[in-house]
Amino acid sequence: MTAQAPRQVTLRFDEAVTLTSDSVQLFDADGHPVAAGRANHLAGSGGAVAADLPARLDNGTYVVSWRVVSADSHVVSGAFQFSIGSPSPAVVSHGQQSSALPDDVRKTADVLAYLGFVLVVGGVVFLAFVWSGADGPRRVGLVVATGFAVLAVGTSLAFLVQYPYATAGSLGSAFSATALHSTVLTGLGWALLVRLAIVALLAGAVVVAARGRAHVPAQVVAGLALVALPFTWTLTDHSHVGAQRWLAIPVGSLHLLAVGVWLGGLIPLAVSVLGRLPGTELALPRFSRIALPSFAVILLTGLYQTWRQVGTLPALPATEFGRLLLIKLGGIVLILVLASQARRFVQRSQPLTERPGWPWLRRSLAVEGMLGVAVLAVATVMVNTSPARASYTPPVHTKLALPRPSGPLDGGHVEIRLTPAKQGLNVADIYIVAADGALRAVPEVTAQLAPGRRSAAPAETIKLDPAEPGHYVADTMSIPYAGVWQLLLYVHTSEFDEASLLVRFRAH
Amino acid sequence: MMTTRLVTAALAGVVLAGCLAACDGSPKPKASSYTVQSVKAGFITTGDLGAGTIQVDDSDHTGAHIIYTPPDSVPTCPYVQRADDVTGNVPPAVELPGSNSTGRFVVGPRDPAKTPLATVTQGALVFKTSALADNGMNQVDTETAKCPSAFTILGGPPVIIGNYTINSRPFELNGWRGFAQQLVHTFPADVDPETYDDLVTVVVHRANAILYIGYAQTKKVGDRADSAPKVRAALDHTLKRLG
Repeated sequence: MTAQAPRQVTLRFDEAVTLTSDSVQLFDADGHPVAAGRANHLAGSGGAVAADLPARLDNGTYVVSWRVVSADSHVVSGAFQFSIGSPSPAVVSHGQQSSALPDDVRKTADVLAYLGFVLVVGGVVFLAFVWSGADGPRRVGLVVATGFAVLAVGTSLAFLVQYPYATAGSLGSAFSATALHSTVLTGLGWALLVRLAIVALLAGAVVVAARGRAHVPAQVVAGLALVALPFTWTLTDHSHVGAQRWLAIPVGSLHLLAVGVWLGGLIPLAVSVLGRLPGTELALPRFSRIALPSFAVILLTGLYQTWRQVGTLPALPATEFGRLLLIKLGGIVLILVLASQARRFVQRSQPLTERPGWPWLRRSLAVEGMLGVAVLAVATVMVNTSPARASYTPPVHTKLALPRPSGPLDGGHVEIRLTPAKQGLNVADIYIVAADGALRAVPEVTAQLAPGRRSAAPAETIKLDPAEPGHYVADTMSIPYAGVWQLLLYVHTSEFDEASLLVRFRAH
Repeated sequence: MMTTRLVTAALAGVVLAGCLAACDGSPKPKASSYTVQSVKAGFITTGDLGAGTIQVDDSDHTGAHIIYTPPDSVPTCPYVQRADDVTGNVPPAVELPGSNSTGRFVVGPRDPAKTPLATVTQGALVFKTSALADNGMNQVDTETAKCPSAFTILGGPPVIIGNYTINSRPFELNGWRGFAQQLVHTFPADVDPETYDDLVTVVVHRANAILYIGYAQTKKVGDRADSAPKVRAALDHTLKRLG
């Protein structure tokens, strides 16, 4: 609530954001748009955004609706209200309504791009290092060609849909000059265009190398293109946001490359095994030799990424990202089991097709491939989900013994829960627990919230209301900013006894 | 033959990938996707609550009229209409224009006095558009904010007299957002010093629907109220049926 109309609205994000023409919109209480200035970054800060408000705003409630593209290229949006003079009796909710279609198209484009990537990387590596058939393996070549096509289509689609996705616009706006120009100006737009260029270069190099087997320049170009390709993802996704970017970007790229070599190689291998192509006998042990180190790289780089993006174990079950990661790990474990059995089978000296388990191997490879695609899909979903480290806030839950003497509560304790322990509105639950474990109502409980010990700011009294006997709740406790805070509790355990308790905690 | 298998496998893989990508774990409202019939799938049933419970359609409010609220209304401050120390207009429930109601359904034990099983009172309102439901939820929030943190009922049947304390906190589950309002009713010492009523009312909104669930049980003084975690656990199961 303000007495006078504000002249500017400022939004501060904890990472740099990309703006669109309608990133900040203003609506009155009836939901009608009010002309506001175009949103711009504040000088020197990619994470601070400001938009000028009209000079004359009538009294009442207004809704500021915002929509920006985060540093890892996802749309983040929200809305908040402010009132001038007095609040309006009723406020029409008016966020920036987005059409689900661009969102779905973008996800489809992501999946296609990943699928294409693994088919290309795995297929090219398979043809270069695993396959020994003198004649061009047409079916395997078809897999690689499909990979190039899928990767190019997925990337192009991602580029085109970025504008309607970022602006909550219709798909029809994707082909406008404004849309294309706007996307080209973003980091993601550049990365997608560079990816398309690398794909074209790689495709050309593969064609040249396939025609003349010892064409060294083509092989060098293909190798460089393969190494460069994953960077077009990691320079715009979770890897380039947060701590240790210098390490996270190459590690993330290595992870992607290893996934491509292993999973992408599995598919042409499955094609050659299922099709009983000549040369399969030699290809199987060769692929096995490549798959093992690839999997080791996937595991090591995956562990690092898990640590970096999840942080703590409790965040695994508590966040969407963590749960998806658990599903992904489950899929990987299943693949590992199948792969280790297949490896044992391949290492026997008997000719492959004469072994009793040959039909099993064919089925196993098919299942491995399917599981690999499922794991890839989960990974794609994870890319579109906020990392657990960013979204998880460990709840404050602590127990403090009551000092003696505490009258009838001697030997008892006070249990404190603070949810969500974040900047903004929080709920504090205070339980007074007697020595026998039962809750016990006391004459009075009061609380104060104060900044950490370095601050000289005064403590603020917190309104506590009783709930069930022995339980006290502060349901409107506001933490003004993130940092270390202390909650001071004064528990009147009887008419004459008072215990003072201090809880220090970090608000995120 | 092999080509057919490969094509089938590839298609299955792409479909699976697409499905997984679409279910990205951050459920988003489907625009105007619920109907009066479909939203009932999110109700807690006798199967969800446990053996020994029955379901009653309370839409005509055949039960006691001690705390009457219209069956197509959303609770905002239960029991307050009988309070003796509340001044001003604090409604116990709000009726939202432009909505279709499922009516009110009660699931609970035949005789609550003889069993620790909870009683669930639930209903939903379905709007033509999500924007109308947004406005309806805003109205619910506004009315709920008027509910005092404590009140007393001095007169009436023994089951309702005593002290009431109320607190409220945000509630979010499977894309449904709203609040969980806890109401604790303790009896006068000369009526019943041993037990208290633990009632949690969850009101949640998603897309074009507003759903409310009142979860009530009797607890012993000294025990923790646990209606809130219980109703969350029940809703975690039932709201998934709604998608």
